[in-house]
Amino acid sequence: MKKMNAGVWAGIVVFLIAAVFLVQSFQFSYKSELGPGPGFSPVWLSGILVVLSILYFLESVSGKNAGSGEEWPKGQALKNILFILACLAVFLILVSFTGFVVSGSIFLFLLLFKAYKWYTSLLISIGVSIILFWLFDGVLGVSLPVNGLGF
Amino acid sequence: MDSLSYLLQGFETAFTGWNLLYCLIGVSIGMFIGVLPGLGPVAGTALLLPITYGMDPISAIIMLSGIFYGSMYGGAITSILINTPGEAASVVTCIDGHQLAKQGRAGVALGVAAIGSFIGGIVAVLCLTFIGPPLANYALKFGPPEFFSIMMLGLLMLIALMGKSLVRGLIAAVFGLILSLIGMDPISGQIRFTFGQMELLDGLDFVIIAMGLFGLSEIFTNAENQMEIEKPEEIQGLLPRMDEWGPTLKSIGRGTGIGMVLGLIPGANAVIASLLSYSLEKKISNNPSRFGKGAIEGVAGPETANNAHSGAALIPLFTLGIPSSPTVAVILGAFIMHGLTPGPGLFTNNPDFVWGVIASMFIGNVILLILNMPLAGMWAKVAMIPYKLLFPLVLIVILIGTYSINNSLWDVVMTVIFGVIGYIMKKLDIPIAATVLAFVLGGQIESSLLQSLATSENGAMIFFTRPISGTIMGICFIILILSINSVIRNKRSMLSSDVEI
Repeated sequence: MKKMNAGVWAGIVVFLIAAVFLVQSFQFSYKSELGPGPGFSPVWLSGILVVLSILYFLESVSGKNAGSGEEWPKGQALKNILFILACLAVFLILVSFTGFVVSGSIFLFLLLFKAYKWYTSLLISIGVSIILFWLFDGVLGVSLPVNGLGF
Repeated sequence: MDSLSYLLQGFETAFTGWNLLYCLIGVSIGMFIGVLPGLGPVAGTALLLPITYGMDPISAIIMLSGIFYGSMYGGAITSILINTPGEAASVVTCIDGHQLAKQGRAGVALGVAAIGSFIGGIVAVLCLTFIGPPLANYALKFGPPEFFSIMMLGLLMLIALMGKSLVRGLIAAVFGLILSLIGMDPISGQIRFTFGQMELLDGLDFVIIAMGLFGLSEIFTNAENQMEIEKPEEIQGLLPRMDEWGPTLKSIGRGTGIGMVLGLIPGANAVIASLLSYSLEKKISNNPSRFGKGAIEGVAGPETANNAHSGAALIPLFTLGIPSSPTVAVILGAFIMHGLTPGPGLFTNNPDFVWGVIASMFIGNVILLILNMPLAGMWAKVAMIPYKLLFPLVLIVILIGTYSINNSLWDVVMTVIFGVIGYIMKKLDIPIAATVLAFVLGGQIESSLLQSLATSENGAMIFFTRPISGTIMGICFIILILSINSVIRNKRSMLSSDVEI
């Protein structure tokens, strides 16, 4: 084993999450007049998760049954994923101010920009956003976020 | 025959204009999703789930199940023509299917796949028609302990069959169960695990979990590598030679059997069905060396098996309310969304619904046969849609879809978070399907457990003293022991990891 493998860290994270849930679980009543109460399942489930996380940790430390063998993304692959996440963030921040059509167009344009010529990307982005807006807001009755001008 | 008259009524429902249209839309989208590498049936059904909000429940389920079985047809086309499986259940079809295509017999491979899929699909629906009602009737006698043990069996089977590590499978399932606890407890009104967030009072929406864990995480995984797609092979002629009909039909028969049986078992998914069928065909062949070099049985068996599986997988859903695979879990989510309680009562309480959907599946399979036989070449072109154009469109549909649940951006943010969690789970080889299945069943598992314990006089013994639930619990323990054994003997590497995505 070269370094701490990802499973070890994952085991620790799962343990922490399970511990938080377990502590919370004790606030709910374990019993009710009819039998087990709302605290029954939370206590057991988070308790079991604590035990499982420890087993996971041990399994990963020993290196047995180690991960899927899939590599964690590096270089370009990591950049691609972070870029998508950044685009999602931009969309989520913009959408409340600019409405769906504008933010959707920007979102699509950012993602398509590298693959196509800028005018093609722009056309696809605006076209798709308007069609989707019409389809969902107009036809399917989902009210999408809009700007002051109504789109 | 009672079933027959109900079925005829079902055809009346299914043949109305709108339902016929939704069936056509469903199977076409299914084909589309099946054909496109990088978009599978789970992500596809999850993606369209929010769109069905405003629809009539019958139409909604007709469309969603159409996507499910339609995608099984579509997957074969790309496997054969461009050696890229459109979805996981068609991976083995690549082996011999693409070899046949290289020998100029792509048409034959496609034809056999379509015929096999059709036969497998129709037999499975027939089975649902005639086995479904008596099974549901029998299950009406089940009380909370029986349902609890059946759900446990379903979850355990899934965990036992997936991934290399039993511990990680269990973590995935318990994680899903805990997620299902979030929100207000329906029995006591106690608010659990909301961390002060108002939005969590009603719990996490299933669409968020399904779209995030299955849909978004898939896009992140695909973003890692550039997808290169080969040029499709030419198609000529669709039917096999005279002397090939015999062995082909026999493989189709065996594939149907394997698919049916595995479809009934919760947790055994379509990928396992097609893998098993392929290895069986190879094993019983007179000349196993032909496999891998364009053996027609290697296409006929697995393609039939995965379709028979997808039809049969709906039997436990309709009769017991238990999903046997991730896609069926999404359909179960749709049931709940539309106010239907899946389970044995469905056949008696909502006969219009059940028989309408079953009848639509006969129609859908016929439509798919037509879509596949003469139009296969057109679908191969669909696979050529560049992924760089496709994924931004899928992303924006995910954004709108999750927004539409409650018209809130909060849900969209949660979906993105679950997308990242799903991606990390994939990297760590923690089976996502187990989380989603556990999440869907979580509410029912808890209520059946609490009800059983409340009526029990001697605690947890109630699960073992009643004959049916006792037997099922016994099977659960055997599965658990066998899986622990497989861990100790380190024999789990041959098992498929997260599949059917």
